[in-house]
Amino acid sequence: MTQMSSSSRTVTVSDAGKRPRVVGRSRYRIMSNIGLGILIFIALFPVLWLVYTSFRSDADIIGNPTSLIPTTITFENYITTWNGTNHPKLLLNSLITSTITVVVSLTLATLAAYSLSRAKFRGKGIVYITYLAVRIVPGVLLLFPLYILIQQLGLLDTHFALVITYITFTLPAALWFMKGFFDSIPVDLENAARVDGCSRMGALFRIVIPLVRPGLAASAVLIAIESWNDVLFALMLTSSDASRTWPVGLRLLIGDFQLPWGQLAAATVLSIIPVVIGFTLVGKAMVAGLTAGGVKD
Amino acid sequence: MTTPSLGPTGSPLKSPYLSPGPGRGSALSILWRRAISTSSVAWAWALLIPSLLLVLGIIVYPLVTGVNLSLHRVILTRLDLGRPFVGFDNFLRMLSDPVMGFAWLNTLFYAVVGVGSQFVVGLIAALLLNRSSTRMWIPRTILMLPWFLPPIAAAYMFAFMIDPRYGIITRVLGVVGIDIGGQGVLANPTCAIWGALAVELWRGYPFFALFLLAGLQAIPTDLGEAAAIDGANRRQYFWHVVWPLLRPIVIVSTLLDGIRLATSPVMLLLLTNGGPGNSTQVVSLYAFQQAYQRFDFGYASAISVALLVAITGFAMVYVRINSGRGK
Repeated sequence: MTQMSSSSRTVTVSDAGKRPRVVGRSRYRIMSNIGLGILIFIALFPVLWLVYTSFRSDADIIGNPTSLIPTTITFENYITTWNGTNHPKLLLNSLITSTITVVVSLTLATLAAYSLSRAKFRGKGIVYITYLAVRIVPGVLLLFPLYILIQQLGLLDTHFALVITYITFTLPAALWFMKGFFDSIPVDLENAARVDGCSRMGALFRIVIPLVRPGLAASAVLIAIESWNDVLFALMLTSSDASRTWPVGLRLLIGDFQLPWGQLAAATVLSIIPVVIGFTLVGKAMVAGLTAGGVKD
Repeated sequence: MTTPSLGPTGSPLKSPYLSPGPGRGSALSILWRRAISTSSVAWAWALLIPSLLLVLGIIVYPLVTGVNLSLHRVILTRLDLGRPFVGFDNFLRMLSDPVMGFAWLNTLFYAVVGVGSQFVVGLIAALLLNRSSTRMWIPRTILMLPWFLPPIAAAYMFAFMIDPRYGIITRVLGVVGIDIGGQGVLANPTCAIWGALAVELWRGYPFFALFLLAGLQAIPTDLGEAAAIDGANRRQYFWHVVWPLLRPIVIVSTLLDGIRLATSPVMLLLLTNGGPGNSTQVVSLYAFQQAYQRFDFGYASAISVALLVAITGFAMVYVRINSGRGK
């Protein structure tokens, strides 16, 4: 693990003799910290405002909307959301659906992407574009016919219906990204492994997969977020708390006239927490410098 | 050619033996192993078939049904009229629909400006986040937060924050001296689309940041060392070493985000519903309104089919141009 953090340090060390370069480096570091600070503020402020709103009563939110000092701090929104809308069950449904989708979609997409990245065969271009076309089909065109299909299969209001729908739309995106990541890994590495007696699949799992770990992590996050946040398909394919996911619950919170701001905010905060935890865990896989010293020409 | 073994498939290496994997396994696994190791093309199809079958299995029937709908008159509130076949009437209707021309232009504008702005901010974020410190998970997670919000929450939250009377952003801008007017950003025909694009930018840049960061991290660090030894400065290193290696990810991410912006009406539906006065009308939203607000599924399907054809053509050109210059 020690060589992982070597890159920036080595550059500094090799340039240590030239003073202007070191000065330029520290100025770059200051500038990048300022830039990071600005971005963090822009990203964080609305989310903090959301968290803040979730602890206010609706009367306070409507009465003094921009007040930075709440008249009262209340947990009522969380309690109402948790007990009133069957939120724990909806979160569990979302968790089940998203987890299965990520595992199946990412596995199939990675294998197919590797095939498209390394093999040369007739019809490859068409297969490649076909996956993309699935992604391009507007939801409006599919919603109604998909509902009929799922209904005829007797799968309405099941986790399975949501999972296969989400796999269909997330797999092509993951596949295109993974092909991009595979394309940037030199073929020489696998060839060397295969000369050393590794099978093709052995080379994929022992050599290539570890190198595209950041790409796998990013694709997993993409699939997870798309299936976790989907409301369009979930609204149509679920009809009870047996399979309903949490964004549908959020949508149903919203009445026709008055938005229950506090509850809406509380429900959103509750549902971001699992995503943040998941991202932090997956983010560990995103470490720089995995291919250090891989190929020497 | 002295090496005919390369063959037309161009595979540089062929495994002459089966892999010495653990155990013998079932007949199926022997077949599978033979398929993926003997022929240079069979292994490729063996890896492709499962995902291809699954995706096509789900998509083909709804797609065919949807295209079929576009050739019929289907109005859900008037099912007593039946579902007569009308040929290309729905498509011809698009040509004479005054909203459509404007919606096409708006879609192009929305997708191009949306992708451009999100890409630039995402790339900056990725470059700033690409440090090897283990503590970087904190800013990384924070910069991803906007993306974790579902569109529905992000849209309502922003609508609330930029409300001309209640919004905190309105108030902060007012203190700084920027007056966004009594009607608010989203009710003003000239800047409503910019307001929606700003929300898209806020929620959309982490997508680029994440994938570009993953791309940056897949770049071997010895390249940076080599460039530094050769005396390349930071800018030269970026344009001559990093950018070419990042290109596959740049192409895929811009393409997928463009497709999302052009085909998903969610954000505009929630923020403006096409208004005020069709000023933020885009093709995908118009199709959605035809289907779920006017219940004219025939026309909505025809618009969607046209959008599908247009974007697929655009995507193929985009990929063709870019794969020609790569490698």
